[in-house]
Amino acid sequence: MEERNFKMALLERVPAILEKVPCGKPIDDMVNMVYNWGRRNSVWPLLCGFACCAIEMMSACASRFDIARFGSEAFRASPRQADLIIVSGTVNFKIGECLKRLYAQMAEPKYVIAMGSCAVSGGPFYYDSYSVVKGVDKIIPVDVYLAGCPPRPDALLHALMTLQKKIDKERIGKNRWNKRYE
Amino acid sequence: MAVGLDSIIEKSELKEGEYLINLGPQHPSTHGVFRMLLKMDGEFVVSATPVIGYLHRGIEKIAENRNYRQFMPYTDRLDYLSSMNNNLSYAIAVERLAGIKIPERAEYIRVIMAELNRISSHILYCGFFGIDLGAWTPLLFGFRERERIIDLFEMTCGARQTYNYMRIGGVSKDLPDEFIPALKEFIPYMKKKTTEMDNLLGKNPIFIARTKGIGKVSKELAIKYGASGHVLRSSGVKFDVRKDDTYSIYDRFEFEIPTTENGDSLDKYRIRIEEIGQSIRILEQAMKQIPDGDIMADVPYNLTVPKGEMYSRTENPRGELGFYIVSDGTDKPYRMKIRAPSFSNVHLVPEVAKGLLIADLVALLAAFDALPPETDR
Amino acid sequence: MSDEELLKTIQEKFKDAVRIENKGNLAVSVNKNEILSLITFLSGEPLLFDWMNFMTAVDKMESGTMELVYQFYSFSNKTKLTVKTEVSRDLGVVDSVCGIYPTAEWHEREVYDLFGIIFKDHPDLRRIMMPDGFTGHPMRKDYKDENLVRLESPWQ
Repeated sequence: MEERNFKMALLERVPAILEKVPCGKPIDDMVNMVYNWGRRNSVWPLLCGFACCAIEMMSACASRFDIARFGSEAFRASPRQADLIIVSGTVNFKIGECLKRLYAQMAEPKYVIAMGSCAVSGGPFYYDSYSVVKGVDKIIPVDVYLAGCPPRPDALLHALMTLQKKIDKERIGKNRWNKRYE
Repeated sequence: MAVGLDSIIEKSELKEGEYLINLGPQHPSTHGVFRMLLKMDGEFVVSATPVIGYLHRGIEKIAENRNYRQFMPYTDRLDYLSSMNNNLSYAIAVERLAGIKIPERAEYIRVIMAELNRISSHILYCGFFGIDLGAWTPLLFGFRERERIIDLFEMTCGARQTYNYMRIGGVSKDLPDEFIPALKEFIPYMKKKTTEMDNLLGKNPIFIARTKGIGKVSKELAIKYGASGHVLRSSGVKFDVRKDDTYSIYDRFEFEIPTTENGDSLDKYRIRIEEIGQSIRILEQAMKQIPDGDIMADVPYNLTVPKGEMYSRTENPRGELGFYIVSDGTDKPYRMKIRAPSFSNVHLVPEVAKGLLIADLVALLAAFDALPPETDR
Repeated sequence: MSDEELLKTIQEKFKDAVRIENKGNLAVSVNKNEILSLITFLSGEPLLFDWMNFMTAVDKMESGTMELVYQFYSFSNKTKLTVKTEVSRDLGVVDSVCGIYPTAEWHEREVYDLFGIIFKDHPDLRRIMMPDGFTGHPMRKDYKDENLVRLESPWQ
């Protein structure tokens, strides 16, 4: 624990030190740019489709709307090897338990796209349903929301591009998984 | 919250060398969120317990607070690969209960849409069967054919997957001018591609070796467990709701019901491929006979159905979909029960899964083709 | 076999069977004590109703009962039949038909889970759709839950 805190503290102090050194800020920017470029062009989703939106997700992987050209060709079956969960479909209390467990098993950095109305807010099952969770962000934190019922595969590719733009803005040492819990 | 079926685990009495394993809700080869608790002896399955309910949305309770017109989009989301057939089943159930007669052109358009959706569902079934056994190509071919069919649907109603196209009393939009020429081009293309898919899978010695003799369902077992669709027809029972309890205008078309005797996974695949050919036959006949006219009967905006109850059923790609509607004279149903084909079909899996290797179990699940949103409603 | 012949065959053996209004096919209603013997009779010769479509319940709050509905089809005679019976709404108990139709196992589990009717001699009566630790029976008409938000729109 002591060693981890020391390494974290070092990582967080480096950008502050680099700012004071002459031409330190461009070095910091360059390192961040290369680091993010590698990560944003190889986001590997988890193979988990819940309901109707899963078929549009599979159509996005098929030949017409090729998702492989964005680097997400490899859909991993195990959460330990995946970077991204695309929650595609209605979430109820029973599967919500499993979703929490899947999210906890993923290694950081990890991202979540809430695809379709059911994952964003409960969708057409908001009213009069006793078992649907009204939005998956009540269970896990979400990065990109995508509306539609179901959204077209082009819309899923747009959501992936929005996620890539979000990854571009991240900086080493200042991410949400570098937070120190005290 | 105990999701682990503690009672089953306590009762299981594992012998030496046996262990419990979870074919979980998130798995590449279960079709969606479907879970099986397996008791294994090495690689062999001793017993399998399916666990469902991971996609239970309470659609039947929702139906009690919606108009008949407002409930139509929910029927799309029951079996998302055959939305047009679900719409048709619900529309026929309400029209029979309320005594509404619909125009001729609407009947023909409904049959064309339902058969096109049946072709798309069957070719995607072949694709999923391939990838569960490890073959990538049939899946991509299946999606390519499905995209062609979706182009036809998008031309008409604007949606790609959950169409909400049919209404109580007819259909919502007329066919555009370029639909029939596009359909005329599509039919020879589909015949060629079905033969191609059959060459890839059905005549492939590896596929035949992996599916022949796996999961034999006898005739008595299929009838006792309430199976329907290709599960029933592969065991030797020649029953199809389109012929034996006919609805809409299916009595005007000539087509056959493929049936086989063995009841194993290869036969189930064979029946679905033959049914694509029969659907193409129906499409050709419907295209020649379609008349001009109205597409919607004169139905009031807020439809009230007279008091009564009825069960009416149609043939979905996966089996018999039925709606049992109890009406109390108002514009909302008092009780709507949806008889889903996958609920009864999946109940057969533990019976035939005993003694199989785990790889064969995956082939069995792919052959039965049970979709979770239909099983759980 | 026509509806009248079928009704006569059933009423010969079960004097209390009453015909009910149904727009699709013949529907009879019996007392809940006779349901198992009626269904055993239906599944044998000469009627041969060997295929069970579904089994469900309808919650009738005003009369304080729940109505159980069974639907059958016969492949050999090509006839349909609906059988109904009434159970009390609070802790109703009825015989299970799993011995004759194995498909009824899951249908009865679903009715127990969502309505709360108990089936005697069922091999494995536990929840099927809702999570294991859930309390309450959601499909009842008087079920209340903070998660259940009702749709009330002005033009409904």
